[in-house]
Formats: sequence, C-alpha cells, structure tokens
Amino acid sequence: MDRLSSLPDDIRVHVLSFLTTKEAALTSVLSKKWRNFFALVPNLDVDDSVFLHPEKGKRERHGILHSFMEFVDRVLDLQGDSLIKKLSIKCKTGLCQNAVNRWIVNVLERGVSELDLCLDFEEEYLLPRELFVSSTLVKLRYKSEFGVNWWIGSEGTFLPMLKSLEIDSVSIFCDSKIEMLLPCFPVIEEFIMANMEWKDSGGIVSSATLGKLFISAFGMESFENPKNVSFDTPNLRSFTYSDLVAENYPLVNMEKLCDAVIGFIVTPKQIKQIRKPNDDAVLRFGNVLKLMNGIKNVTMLRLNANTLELLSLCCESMPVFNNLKMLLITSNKDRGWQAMPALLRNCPHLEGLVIEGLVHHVTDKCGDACDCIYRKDKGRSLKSCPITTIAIRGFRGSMREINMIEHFLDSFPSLKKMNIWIKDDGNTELNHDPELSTHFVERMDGFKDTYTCEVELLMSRNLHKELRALEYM
Amino acid sequence: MASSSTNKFVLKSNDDVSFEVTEAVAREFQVIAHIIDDDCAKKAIPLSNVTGEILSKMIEYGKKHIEEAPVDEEDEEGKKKLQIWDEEFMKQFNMEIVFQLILASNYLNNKGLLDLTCCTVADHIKDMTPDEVRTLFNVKNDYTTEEEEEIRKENSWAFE
Repeated sequence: MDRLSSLPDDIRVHVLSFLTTKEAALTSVLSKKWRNFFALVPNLDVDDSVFLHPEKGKRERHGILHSFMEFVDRVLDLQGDSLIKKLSIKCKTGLCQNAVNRWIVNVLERGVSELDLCLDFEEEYLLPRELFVSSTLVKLRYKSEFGVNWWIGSEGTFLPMLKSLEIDSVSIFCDSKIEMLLPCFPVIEEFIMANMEWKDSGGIVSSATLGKLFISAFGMESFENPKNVSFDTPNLRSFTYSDLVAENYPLVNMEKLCDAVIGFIVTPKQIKQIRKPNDDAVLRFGNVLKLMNGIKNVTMLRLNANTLELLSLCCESMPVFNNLKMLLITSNKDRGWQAMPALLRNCPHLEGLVIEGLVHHVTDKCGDACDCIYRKDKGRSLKSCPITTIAIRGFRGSMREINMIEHFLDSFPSLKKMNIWIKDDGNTELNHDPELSTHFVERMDGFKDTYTCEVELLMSRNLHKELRALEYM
Repeated sequence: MASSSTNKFVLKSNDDVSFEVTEAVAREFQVIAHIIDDDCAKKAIPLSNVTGEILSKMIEYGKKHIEEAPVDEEDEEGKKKLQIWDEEFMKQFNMEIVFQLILASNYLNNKGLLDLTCCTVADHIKDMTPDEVRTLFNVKNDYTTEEEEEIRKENSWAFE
C-alpha cells in the first residue's frame, strides 16, 4: 500500500514543507497525484546555488538558467493568489533582475510575511518599491556582497507589521539616517545591521518596541568619528554595538538591557592618544563613560580589547555593574588591561569571567589583574572579586600565560572551576616546543595538587590526537 | 482543584488497551486537553483512531517532553538534549509505524510529534532519487514514459 500518497493533503503539504523547493519539486515525477502538488507548500525557497551541484559548470550550460526561471514562474502561476508565508531567494550571478523582482512583487501581493533575500547582482540593483510599503511583511532579511540600495526616496517607506529587519552588506546606500528610518517600522523588535560601512553614523536610534539591536559597522581610518550618537530604546534587551567611538553619547536609555556586546574600533593613532591622555583625548573618548552608564544594568557584558583600553580613560568614574553575572573580555597583544582592576572592582555580583587570549600589552597600570611586571602597590581587585568560574580561551601555552593562570589561582578567593581552552590553529607554542610542553604538563599537575579549584584543560579532538601522537599528553 | 501533576486520566485505545497518565501528559494532546476542559473526562477517554501500540509510543513521547521540557526559550542545551532524544526515538520505527504515528499525532493534535514524524519522512525523500522514493514508499508510477520524460525536461535544472 502507498501510505505516502494516501496521506491527507494537508499532511502531505506538511511533509514537503520540510524540504527545499528543489527537493519538493522532484516529487512531481513520482506519480500523477504528485504532479503539481509541491506548489501547495506555502514556503518558496529559490536557491540558485543548487545549479552548481552536483556538477561543476552546470550554471553556464545552455538553457539551465532559463529552465530554472521558467520553473519559478510556473510554480508562482500554479499557486495563483493563494496565501504564501515565506519566500527565500539566494541568487548569485546570472539570474535576471526583472524576474527576481517579478517574484518578489508576486508574493508581496499575496500577503507574504517573511522575505529572505540573498542577492549578489554585480550591476546596480534596486528592490521593488512595493517592498517598502508592504502591509503584511513581518520579517525581512537582505544580504548582499555588493551593497544594498535602500529605496531611493525612502521617506515613503512604511512597514506597519515589520518586526525583524536584518541587513548584511558591505555598505548600505540610503538617503535617510537610522533616526528617520525607525519610525517607518512602528512595531519593530529586531534591527540588525551587519558588516556595513556606516558613514555619518551619528544620530538618535529611537524606538519603544525595539528589543534587539545589532549594529556592526567596520569603520575605516578615513572615516570621521561620529559626533553624537543616542539610543532611546527603553525596551531593549540585547545590544550589540561595533563602530568608531562617537564624540558624545548624549542619551543612552536602555534600562531593561540584559546582554551587551561592545566592540569599538580604534585606530593605532587613537590608541597612542589614549595612552598619553591629554585634555583632547579625554574630550574625544571620555564620553564612552556615558554609554557605559547607560548599559550598567546588564547581566552579560562582552568587551573587545579596544573597548577595554578605552575604558582606561574613565577608571575613576567607572559605573557599578550591579546585575552583572558574566563578563567576557577579548584580549589582544597590542591592547592593555589598565581598566581591568576598576572593572572587576565594580562588578560586585560577578559569577563568571571569560578571557579570550591572556596575552595583552604590558603597562604599569594593570594593578593586580596580571603579574606581567613587578608592582609594589597592586591593589586587591582580584581578592575582592566573587567569581566562581573562569574560562581562558585561545590559550597558547607560553610561560607568560602559565604564570598568569597561577596568578589567577592564587588571587581569586572563591574560584571553584577553571577551564582552559587550548587554541587550535596548529601553531601554538605547545605545538612547537616539546620542552615547554613538558614543563606545562608538570605545572598543571602542580596546580591540581596545590589548589582546590578544579582546573580542566580542553581542546578540540584534532589537537588532542596530535599532541598524543607526540606523546605530550 | 487537584493539580495537573496528581490528577490522573485513563486513555483507552481502539483495541482496548488502557493507559493511566497524569493530566500534564494528557494535555500534551490538544484534542484530549479540550475533552478535559469541557469536563467530559469523567471515565476513561476512548480514542477510536489509535491502537495501543501507537498510543504507548505517543505517551512515551509526551512524558519525555513534559519531564525534560527546556527551561525557557534560551535553554539551548535543554533543547539540544531533547532533539537528540527525538532522533533516537524515531530510529526504532519502521516506515509503517512512522505513518501510523503521523496520522495519530494529527488526530490527537500534537504539533511536536507531527513535525517530528513528517520531518522523518521528508528526510528520506531528501536523500533519494525519485525511483528510490517510489520503491521505499510503494508509490505506483502511473505516467507513460513520454509523460515522465516531459516532466523531467520541464525541471531539467533540478534533475540533471
């Protein structure tokens, strides 16, 4: 008995909805009952990369692209004006822009709620205007390697149902600033702008509905630092912000914030100014403190090495992070830890610390956060820090790192667990120096005997195998 | 009112096998939840479209998903654990049982199990050529050679 074909139609549609449109289309050849059945699936997944499999050069073969575009047109035709939930288009070169826009307009007219567009047209491309005034669109994701043209004339944009907007592109060309754009999305909850060249990024990001904000701009040295950046987002829960440092953060309203990731971009020249601060540097970067004050309610905070170095300008006025449970620091051999003591002192309820890379730029201002150089008056930032777990990531096995680990074991009074993740790029000191490895294993054994804290060494399976073959482990 | 963890109900399959379950497990199946809400569940609840063999498996699934329910939306570890259990759970069944589970979870309205079972069938279709799909599911090809040739030509981008 043919149990598959005799399933009720709605269940057959449900089964096919777990397949890509290509996989579902293949069922049309099974039997007459399946002929056009796949077109009933309310999601359409147009992925032209399937051309490339399994055969190389298939895309270039005569008639293939044409057959594909005809297929999409035919499916849309079969679907008539039935409701459609989602359209995904992944498209490299070769497809006709007119066809793609025809498909987008077709589903917009049928009340589509989700669009996932990944369009890499080398020539200039404009999304259809209908997209910017859709009354049904809830989720829009747009990715392109060649930059994104937001609707020229975007003052007409209005998407009353849009909850999630994600744009991932090298640059976004838009004749409006974010502050002009956000009111066009009255119920927006998620706003993600990744990898973009955000020129003139100053302004005010204001939305009462926004829960997640992700801004990742890669600032260029030629860009000017923005003047004023404000956030009036009282319901924000998750905030990721990476850009050049603004001269001022006049308003940072995000009282309900839970997670923050701050990854400032700082040029080497600016780092020099920060290390020898004069009034000018404090004036230029000191307002980072206002941003920190605005996010001080977070429970999880992640800072990159630049941000940590920037905070050295405001150690004395560092806000108290009363709710902070988890702090993650990414380190860098050219960036210093001067702000670490003040930061740790101001996290009275911290439970866990994650440090990605122990090696940092040595200064005489790290207090007791490290033992890189001898200091007489070190302070007690670690002694008063209540963390119970610490994770060291990207461990390379150098003497300096091993000494720092011992320093941590000595200094954090409540530490119960330490996880050390060995960097797995096949190029660490541990890989190259057998003597060091032996020494390291001995020190590790020593730690286990000396401290009550459980120290665990972790690594990917590959590295483990490699080291065992060399009899290090 | 008794709490849903102590309140028990008896589910009875169409071949007269009875299962005593807690209210929470019974409510995993929306149709039964409605019967309970309408207060029609004084005696055993008869389920005319489900055999004892299938019902016992569905209850096993429902129990697991109550006991090991992820703490919240962000409990990735909990979700992952349950997902692994789901995969193992499905491995024990042949296709005949999978289809019976699909129909039963549709009838009793358990979205999680319906998704899981439909996805299992989809995974089989995904990895096979149309001929293999026909063999596995016993689908009779009622096209003429010419008709089939034409469909393959129409979709040449997908077939070749």
